[in-house]
Amino acid sequence: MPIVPGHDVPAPMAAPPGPKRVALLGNPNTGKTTLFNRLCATRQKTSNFPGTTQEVRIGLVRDEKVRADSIELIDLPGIYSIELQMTEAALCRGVLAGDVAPRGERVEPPDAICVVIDATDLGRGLVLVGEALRRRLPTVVAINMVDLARRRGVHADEAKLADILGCTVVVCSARTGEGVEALRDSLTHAPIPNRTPPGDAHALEHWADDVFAAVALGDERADTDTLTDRLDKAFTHPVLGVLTFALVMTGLFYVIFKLASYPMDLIDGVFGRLAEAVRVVLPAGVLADLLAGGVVGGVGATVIFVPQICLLFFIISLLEDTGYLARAAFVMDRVLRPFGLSGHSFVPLLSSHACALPGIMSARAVPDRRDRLATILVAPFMTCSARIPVYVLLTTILFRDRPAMGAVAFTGCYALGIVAALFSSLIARRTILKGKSRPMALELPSYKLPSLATALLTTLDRGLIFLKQAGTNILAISIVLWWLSSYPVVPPPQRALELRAQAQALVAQTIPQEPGTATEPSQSAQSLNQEADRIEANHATKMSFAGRLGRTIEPVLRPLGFDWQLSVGIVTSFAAREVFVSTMAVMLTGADDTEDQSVLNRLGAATRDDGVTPIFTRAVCWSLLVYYVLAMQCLPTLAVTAKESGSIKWAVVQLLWMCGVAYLAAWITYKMLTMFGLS
Amino acid sequence: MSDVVPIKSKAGQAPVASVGTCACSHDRCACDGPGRSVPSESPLTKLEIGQIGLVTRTTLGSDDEALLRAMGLRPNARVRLCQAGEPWIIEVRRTGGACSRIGLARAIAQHVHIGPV
Repeated sequence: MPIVPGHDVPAPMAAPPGPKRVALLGNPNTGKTTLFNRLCATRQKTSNFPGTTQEVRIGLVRDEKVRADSIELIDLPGIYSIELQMTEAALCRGVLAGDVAPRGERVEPPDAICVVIDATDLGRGLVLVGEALRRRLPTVVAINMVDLARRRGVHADEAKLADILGCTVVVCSARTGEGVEALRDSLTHAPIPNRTPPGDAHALEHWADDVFAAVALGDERADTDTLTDRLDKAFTHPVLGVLTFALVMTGLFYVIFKLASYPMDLIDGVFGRLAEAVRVVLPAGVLADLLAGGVVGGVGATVIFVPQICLLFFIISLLEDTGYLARAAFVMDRVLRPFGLSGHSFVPLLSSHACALPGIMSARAVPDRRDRLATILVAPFMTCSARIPVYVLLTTILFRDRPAMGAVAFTGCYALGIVAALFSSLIARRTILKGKSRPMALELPSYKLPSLATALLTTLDRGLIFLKQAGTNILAISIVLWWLSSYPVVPPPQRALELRAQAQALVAQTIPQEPGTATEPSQSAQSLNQEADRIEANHATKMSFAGRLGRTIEPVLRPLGFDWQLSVGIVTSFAAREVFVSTMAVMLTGADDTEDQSVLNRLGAATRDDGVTPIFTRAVCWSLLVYYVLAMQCLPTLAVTAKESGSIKWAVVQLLWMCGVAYLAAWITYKMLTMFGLS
Repeated sequence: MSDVVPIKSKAGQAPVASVGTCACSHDRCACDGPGRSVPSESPLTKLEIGQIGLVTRTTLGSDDEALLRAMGLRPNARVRLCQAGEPWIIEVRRTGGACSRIGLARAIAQHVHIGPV
């Protein structure tokens, strides 16, 4: 007679042999991902469910005995119960029922289920085990983290558990590899369980409690975990917790900016040389321009962010594994909740200071859908690294001899972005995403050393996903914008030709001092050529499709103090904000090296078409700064928003809201400054 | 602890209340003596750090309640308050030394009611 009120049913035949599709199911924090990585290593890919942004990893488990892939493992999202009214639980229900399958997979029930439960807290996972057993599919229960359980003196009678459940039970440790081989074997030969737990939710809970009472060995612990208590107290303390968090995040920020700069410079150099090589190998023409400027340039401008993305996900994975991030989420919850965001939103918002793309991608960790959407919508307000060249240019022009004031303005830009994000979230939560942020109820996992292998595999996975995106959507966007900025090709204006002819004449007059030694063109010839370059670049940009578009929208931007040249800069930097600086430099000075002080000086002194009015007046600089802090000037971000939110609608909302706020704030800035005679 | 009254209790049965006295069911008491057990039913937010009790009921919306139940915070679950304040941290204790920690925002913690062991 079984100890628990389940129903005995005859044990049917095991499923026919052959490659099996096994669904990996488990509570969060049971080491399910580590186990998946241990079983599949790099033989895995990330897919998603059609019509959702919910990702699922699919891996192949190799059977070394037959030297073939014996199992296709589907790593389902971590859930506490299949019956919860949550997206993740609904997808698990659908997969187990055979109604839903990851993209590209057969829509049919899996051949078996592997339920991962935590050996240190067996009782917690038994409800999920009961729910899985009721599916009447071959089932294996993997009791993971047994090494940790032993260290803590937590024991259970696994043989008795297998007897009660009527299915295979394997004890393992994904971290050390103990029992993983046995688990692999069991998955291929799993029988259908011969017991069925009760279906009613409350009866199932009682069943789980009774099963646990029957298999647990020893008494309830008498001691209290004072170390964990102390760490929790410190990490969630209103002051100490915030300081610790600030320290951890500063370290994260530093690593992302500092360490990533080396591979980023390398990538920049490689793509620069690649573009040069394309121009050398191919004859001058449309194809060379397309490949060098559009494809290589466009992809290079995106791939350059891969080191930042990889480092971000690597460190976040390590932090998550230690158990710290769950505590940190509560610390930031206090700050963000009044603005309609949850503590889970902080890491995405912070990451967006490096680049909004990984920031938005990491918003997947926000469990509530509306909280997640609010996070995605406001994340691009954070000052990303692409805005920095624009800030540098404008603060340098504004505070040429006062670097301290420039630093204050720079900090102000960061602060303005944060305030705008919080303010926008507040409005979103009262209008389009009505409702308060969901109060947090979060399991606090045990503190432990992080798994380097898991972090590396997560990093690899995230990096590949980003590269895939760079090679598809972002590449297409880059090519379109390159084409708009470069075409139609127009002949150089008459004035540029005259200047070049003058320069040539000057060089011809210069006689070599000694036979056989070449001389440099005279200073004035060089100046003439520079001026010709400027006029030619200005004319080419003005006549390009982007230039025409810029001139068309100039009346719209005029209230902000922008002339047609600034309007063109804004249009061409729509793909990436930093392009504004190079566009303005090329258009106004003929050179693109904005680190050259003389180029910066010439930019600051550049005038409008009337030849008198400076382009960069104080009011215009402030107006432009405010505009670039707040405006959505990044098409790849819009592409990622559409993907992560599951609808292009949210990308449109983000674009309109951010540009609307930017326009209004820049207009107010410009008007106020001109009104008080500070222009 | 000699003053502990051992009472057999099984999951699914109503908890046995004993005001100010520990009444756990084990040979080795986990409640640190009298006074560590919750004296009477009260919201989690009224408990003192270190007090142990049994979950009696929750007054939350169905989604939140279902999530807490799935996390193991259901009637008769034995809990210890580890930290008061935002967040409220509790330890859900089970036989055999197993336990898990859950952090709760005040908005949830005040709807979780704890009774004596």
